[in-house]
Amino acid sequence: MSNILLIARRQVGAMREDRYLVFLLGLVAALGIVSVLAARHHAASETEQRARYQAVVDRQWAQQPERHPHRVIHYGFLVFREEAPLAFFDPGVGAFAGTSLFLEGHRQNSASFGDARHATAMLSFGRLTPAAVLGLLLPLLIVAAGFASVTGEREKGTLPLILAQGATPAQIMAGKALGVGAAAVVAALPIALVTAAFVAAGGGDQPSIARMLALAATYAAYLSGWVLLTVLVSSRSASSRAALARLVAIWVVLCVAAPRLGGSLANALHPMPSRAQFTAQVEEAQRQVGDSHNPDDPFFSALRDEYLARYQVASVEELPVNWAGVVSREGEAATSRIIEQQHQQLLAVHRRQDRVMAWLGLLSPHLAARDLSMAAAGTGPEAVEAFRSQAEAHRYAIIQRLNDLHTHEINYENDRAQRLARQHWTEFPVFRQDPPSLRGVLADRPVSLAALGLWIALPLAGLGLGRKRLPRVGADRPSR
Amino acid sequence: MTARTVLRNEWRLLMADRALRIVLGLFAVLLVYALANGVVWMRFQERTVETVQTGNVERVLALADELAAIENGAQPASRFSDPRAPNVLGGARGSHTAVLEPGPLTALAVGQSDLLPYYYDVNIYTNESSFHQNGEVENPLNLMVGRFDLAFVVIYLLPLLVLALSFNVLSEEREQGTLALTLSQPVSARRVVAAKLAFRALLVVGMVLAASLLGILVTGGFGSPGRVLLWCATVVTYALFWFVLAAWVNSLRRSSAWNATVLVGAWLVLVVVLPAAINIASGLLHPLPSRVQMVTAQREASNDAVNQRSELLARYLEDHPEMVEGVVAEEPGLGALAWAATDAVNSRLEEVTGEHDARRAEQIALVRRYRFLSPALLAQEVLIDAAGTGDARFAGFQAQVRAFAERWREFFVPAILAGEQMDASVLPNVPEFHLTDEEGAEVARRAGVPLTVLGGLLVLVGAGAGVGLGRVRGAD
Repeated sequence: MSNILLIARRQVGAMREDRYLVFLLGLVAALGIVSVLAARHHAASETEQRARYQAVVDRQWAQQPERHPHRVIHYGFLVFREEAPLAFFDPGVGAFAGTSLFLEGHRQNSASFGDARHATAMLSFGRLTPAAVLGLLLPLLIVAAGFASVTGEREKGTLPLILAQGATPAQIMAGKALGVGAAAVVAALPIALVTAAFVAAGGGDQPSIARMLALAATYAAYLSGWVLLTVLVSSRSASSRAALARLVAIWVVLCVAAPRLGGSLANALHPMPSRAQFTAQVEEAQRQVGDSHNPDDPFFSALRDEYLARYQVASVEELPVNWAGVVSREGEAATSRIIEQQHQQLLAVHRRQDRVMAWLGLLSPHLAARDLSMAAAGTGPEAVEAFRSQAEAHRYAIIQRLNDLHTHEINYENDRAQRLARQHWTEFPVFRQDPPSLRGVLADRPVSLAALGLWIALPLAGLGLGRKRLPRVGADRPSR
Repeated sequence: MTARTVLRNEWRLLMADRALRIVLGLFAVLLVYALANGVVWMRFQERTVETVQTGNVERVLALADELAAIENGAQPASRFSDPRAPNVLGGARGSHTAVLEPGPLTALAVGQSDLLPYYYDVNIYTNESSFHQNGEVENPLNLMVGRFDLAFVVIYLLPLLVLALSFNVLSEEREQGTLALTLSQPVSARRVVAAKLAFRALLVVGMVLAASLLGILVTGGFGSPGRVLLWCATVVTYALFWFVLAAWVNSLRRSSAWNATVLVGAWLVLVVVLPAAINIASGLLHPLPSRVQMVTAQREASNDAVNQRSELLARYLEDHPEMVEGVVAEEPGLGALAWAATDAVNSRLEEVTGEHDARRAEQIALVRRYRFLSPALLAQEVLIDAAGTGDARFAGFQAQVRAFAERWREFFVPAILAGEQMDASVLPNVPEFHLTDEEGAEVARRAGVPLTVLGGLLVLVGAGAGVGLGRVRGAD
């Protein structure tokens, strides 16, 4: 054990002497802190605004004058998507999904005003969020800190000395990993501390401890894998230069190219319809239900006959309930069902695409870590979908309640001249968002969890298998 | 020793290096894959555009049939979907979809074309909020990741290939002890490096340009030679920038390992860190005006306008013909009344949105200044603009749609106000959207400044490299 610590200290000493590395470490740590501060500031003002305007909308709803319920159906209701408390740490897909949704009768609007649509093309370079610093930049720092960890000893000719002093190859590699890991910890610690400080001090919505721990565990595992891989590659390379070239190439492939390759592969395997196609499909499906505006429509005339028979009257005027309200409610039920079906089909394609990405996480731990990070922060695709489906459920409940008011509180005769008193509007429930649970979203990601596990296990196995060869790699090279 | 000898030797050396052969082969594969991706996306857009345009024609034909049938004595399905009414013919049933054809080089750079809408349904009810409420069906995860297109390969991966090929262009000669030998010939270090880099540049730029031209050939982008030229010029300038950067670092006479670290560091900072940092900093320094506020303001605007009229009878009836049954037989000026409300809402919306858009434009102008900090940002801007998938072309399209909606209203509203009915004879005169695509000169004008700055950087670093290399002696 003490051998391992000695070697770790030796590695730390070597890294401290490398001015370039110390500068890089300071830079990454500083970028990390700045990213937390900036992201936190942005998220806080956005959250504050959404909450403020949501309150305005809620108040406007409750303060409506005396109105006909069907007028209220078209007055509609606006809801804003609440970002998860940890969205500042990893904004996930938030900027690329709509933030507000207008809920009204007869249709399911899709959320609009995604941030990305209102920014410039520069945004396609991504944002320097804390998650990006940890997921993208820190691996490169680890590479810089550790590419020469073993090759350097070999090149200086000190490796045989260390071995001669009784350290086993396994101890050497463990010590090197520990030393390189220390550099990663030093760089990551400021981010973690500032984030924790914000969470501890910040009012409003508090992220759960479990989510914070899940985030910490995700990045700890992801970065540990990089440390192990770096030491492994260094131990297997003939020269420091070769180790650096290999590691940078690996980083480029895993962190830069893989995400886009994955996205394009997912798109190719499970193509999406265009918006025009989707709208046409919805309209076509709706046409098959019938037209509530057409008195001769088979669906609605069957409904009328059923009502006439049930109440044993001859015309809709004689019904004890308001026929217009009944038509409105049944029409809403039918169209909502169809639109929801179409929407589910669309979402099924999204989910299939996301699964392709998840499987690719087995090849690129960056994808797996990003997936788990979004899940832990509560900013993944399912958070957006939860908002949509909860808003839809809320919309449907409110619209049907208004239709019921129409059916029972408004008389068929002289229908549109009647009004309902104001207090009716205050009795409606307020929209509450219920984000998906951490346990649920993690349980949905077995592949990503396994991928991250493999990401640690494989280099570890490589180090174990390679320990016998350690003294020999590059030994046949003439020493200078 | 002539430049030709250097070139021939270089080719042998490069091909002898297995790792480099693999890297070059991989790059070629990625180029082809990126191109295929872009072509698939462009074809998808073309198919969508075709579907939408067929829809336009079919709607008109169906309306013509219905109008003819009514003329021959048939009854409209319901009074409120009677195509003779101008608010029906010019409303949702008769709407015309305005389309932006994919940019000529979309196959090379997807740019903003997967994010911004390229078609809008226009009818008399089209207003500012229609531009925002554009149903999104795309998977947000894919939008976030971005597309693997040629522009991505050029901006991110090409510099790395350049650096891998040239980080040790001079230092290796020194480390292997061949530099003194080479420079003992009547040739300067400057010429040796220039010849070596020229060879590599020919190889790399040649591959990218070949892929680009192949893509343009497949998708017929040669119709806009100006854009093709701009694309090629940008690729060449950007690639050369990285070559001269490598030359400059080599001229500092350090070790190959040092060169490699510094160059990768430069790539990381210029391509990854700076753009991402600018994106987050610009949110702090120049925050875009809140959309949440605009949405709420839009809604308030609609309600105010609606409340001004005692109880929006007309609009209500128009939305809900089923409510009218047996209630009101005739109400003169119903359409006019409804239009009054619609118009009031629209003008309030224009005010609110106009204010928001003006502030947003200001902020974006400020943010765009920062692109001069990174050659990657400059190159990306010109590349997607040349491809016709940049922000400007989409903004131009939206402005034209706005004007078209105005023409559309001018055609139908007078008839609505007068309470007139229309017949099949007006159909040929109904406005149609024809895009006036931006001129090549306009694109070139926009590209002028960023491309000049990129070229300036190239010259500056190149000069530094030239001076530095002039000092290199064989005895180093």
